[in-house]
Amino acid sequence: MDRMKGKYALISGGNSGIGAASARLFAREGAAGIALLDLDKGDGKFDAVAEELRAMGCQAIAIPCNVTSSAQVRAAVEQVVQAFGRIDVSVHSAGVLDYNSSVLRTSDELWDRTVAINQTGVFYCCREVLKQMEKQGEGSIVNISSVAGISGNSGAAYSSSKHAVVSLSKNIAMQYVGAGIRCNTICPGPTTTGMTELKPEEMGEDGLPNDPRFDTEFTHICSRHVDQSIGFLAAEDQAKAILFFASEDSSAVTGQWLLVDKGFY
Amino acid sequence: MIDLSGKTALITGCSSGIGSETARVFVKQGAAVVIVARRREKLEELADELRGAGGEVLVVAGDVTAPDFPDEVVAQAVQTFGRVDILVNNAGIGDRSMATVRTTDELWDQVVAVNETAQFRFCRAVLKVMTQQGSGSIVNLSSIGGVYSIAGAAYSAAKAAVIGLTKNIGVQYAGTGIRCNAVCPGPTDTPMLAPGQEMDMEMLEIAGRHSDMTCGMSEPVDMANAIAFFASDEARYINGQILVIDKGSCI
Repeated sequence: MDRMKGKYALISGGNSGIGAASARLFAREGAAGIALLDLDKGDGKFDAVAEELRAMGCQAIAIPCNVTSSAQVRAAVEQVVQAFGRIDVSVHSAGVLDYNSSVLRTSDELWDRTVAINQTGVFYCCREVLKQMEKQGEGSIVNISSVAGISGNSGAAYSSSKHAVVSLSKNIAMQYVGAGIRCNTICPGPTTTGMTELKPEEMGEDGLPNDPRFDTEFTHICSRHVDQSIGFLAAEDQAKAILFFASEDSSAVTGQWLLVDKGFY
Repeated sequence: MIDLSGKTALITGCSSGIGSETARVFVKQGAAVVIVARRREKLEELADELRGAGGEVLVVAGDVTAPDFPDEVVAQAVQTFGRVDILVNNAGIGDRSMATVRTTDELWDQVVAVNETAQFRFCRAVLKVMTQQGSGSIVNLSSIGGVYSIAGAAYSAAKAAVIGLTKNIGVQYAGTGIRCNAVCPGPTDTPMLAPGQEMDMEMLEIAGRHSDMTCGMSEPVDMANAIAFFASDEARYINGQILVIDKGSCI
């Protein structure tokens, strides 16, 4: 139960879904400090996960940060370094769906937003934490891509941006081979999180979303390429794999991606 | 020999390198070509040469990152030739192999705009026509940077995104007459790799360890031949696939 003992972690998208599940697991595994970077939704719950972590004996801070802003990411990472003195582990899980929009149904605005959050946001986070990890001479980055980072089964913008995350991670890993800094990628299959959660009335009888924002025609085409009987994974399933890459258990593993999907793809 | 007669092909990035060589190979194989690049004089030069070889050519000069440009190019192509059978999404820029920590916001944005977003917009633009036709073949230019990530951060990310886009379109149109594949060139003798640029030498050296540097560069015609194969009916059952062409330097 001490696989994160004494370690300081940063988690983008840390207030919900896979990010929050990872934070809780890290705290249970003895993390010394965890910084949660996320959007402040103004619902009074911004500090809720951090509060939980503190109750578990972990030094935790929640920092408002929009990952599409280079300046905000830089300032947030500086704040984390000031608070903790170091960043051993950085998990980048902030992401958005593009509602499985096919190419023809992807507007310029949807494309730009998806790329800005899922791809450029991960780049900003990596770049800023790497500045600190270079000083330390060690660190482990875990980027969250998707089954769509390996396959093409989701929206056009989502597939593209999530492929970019896998490649960026390999590129970073290559740069720091032998330098103590590792970078790996988790590719989650369908996972129940705030990003994917649909109310029962938003689900159709065929098990596919009824939500009007979804490109249902293309979602149906995508469903032919995967095992739909698998259902959704829990955010905790992803957190376990993230912990492996974050911890010393994977000290010889870098530049790799891992599909965590129960065989969905 | 691959036969592209009767087909209309739209090729971006035709002022030099792989783009202009692809236009030559396509004309030789009987295709009418729409050649696109920023520099009009370069395109006119190539158009003269292609017409001299018996080719039908439409020149469209402009910036591939302008949001409305892809739709304009496709409209002109349809007006001139009545259809678009093939898109070769070739226009691209290098990132001087900049490592993540040395990649500025400006370099990142520029590389993503040209190498990724422009390809998406050209795919979207031709798919409007190809879905009406019920047929078409898109060939996107990714890179070994998109498969093995041995390039700068922005280039590796954007060229991998092209692979995601390619597979995504492949999934969508599987079993229809529309196909989408990607070609991933290794180091190729084009102006993109011309000496005299301020490269990230540290990153270049590190990346060099991950490939067999004794293989040397490929020629643009080697890429053009593979592109022609994917574009042609010879590859009619090949869809959503990614082909690396690098002499085996990155196995």
